[in-house]
Amino acid sequence: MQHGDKCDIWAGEGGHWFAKFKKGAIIFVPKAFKFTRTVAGQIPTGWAAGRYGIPDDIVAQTDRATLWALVSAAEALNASGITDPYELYQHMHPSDVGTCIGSGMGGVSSLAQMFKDRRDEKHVQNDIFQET
Amino acid sequence: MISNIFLLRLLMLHVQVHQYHGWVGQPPLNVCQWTGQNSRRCLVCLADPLKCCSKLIEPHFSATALQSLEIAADCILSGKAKVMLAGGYDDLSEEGSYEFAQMKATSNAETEFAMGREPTEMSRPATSTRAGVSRVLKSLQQSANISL
Repeated sequence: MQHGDKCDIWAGEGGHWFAKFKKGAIIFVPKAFKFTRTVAGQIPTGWAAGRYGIPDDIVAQTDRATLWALVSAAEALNASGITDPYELYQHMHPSDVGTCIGSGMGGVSSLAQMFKDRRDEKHVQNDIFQET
Repeated sequence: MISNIFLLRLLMLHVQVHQYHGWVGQPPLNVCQWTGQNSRRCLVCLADPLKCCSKLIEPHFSATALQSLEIAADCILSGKAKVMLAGGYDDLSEEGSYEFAQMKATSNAETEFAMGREPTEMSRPATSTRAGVSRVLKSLQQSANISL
């Protein structure tokens, strides 16, 4: 937190340092609070993308919403009786196969890491931006 | 030429109004969510009801899956593709949930429980007692399919 001229810092004896916060200094204090939106649809507890065959290193660095979409796409193919999507290309040109996946908002947990964890100097992967 | 420009302007206006209105609040079912007009008077509604009025059922934030299905169907019907994988997903965090609450876009669970409502009926946008939707992390699993 930058306090600018709202904070005095001076050296004391024996390697000690003193800081004096003056009127107008801002200090962040983490707090917990409750709010009234307690009903929502959620991903089932224990859901793990790795269980659907996605490699561990991909799971570790990919946003949960992206993983959810990946697994959902695989399930859509399976539900349609297509267990090997590449088989489609035996019957048609690759340009005849398309995807159309919409999203209003995705990657919010990565966004939180980008904005909060980076500021708090917690460990954040270097390519977090592309997950948002 | 003139009619082309007029259509373009109309579409631009449409998009601007759409961006302005967004998905805040729930208009009555016969009002176009994009223009705020009666959907019978909204030209885009008339031209393509699914594209425009699908947003009446739910705000567009969550309607991308339905729009994707329509675009996929269009691609197949027009011969641009033979197979389409279509659907949509949205992510929701506690921060997002809080901001939806600030906008009063979502229903207040405490109030709903006090009225004896079950979680399954807290989102009822097509009723006269609607009081905001409940956010659901949607996915392709619910909405996707393969069209051949």
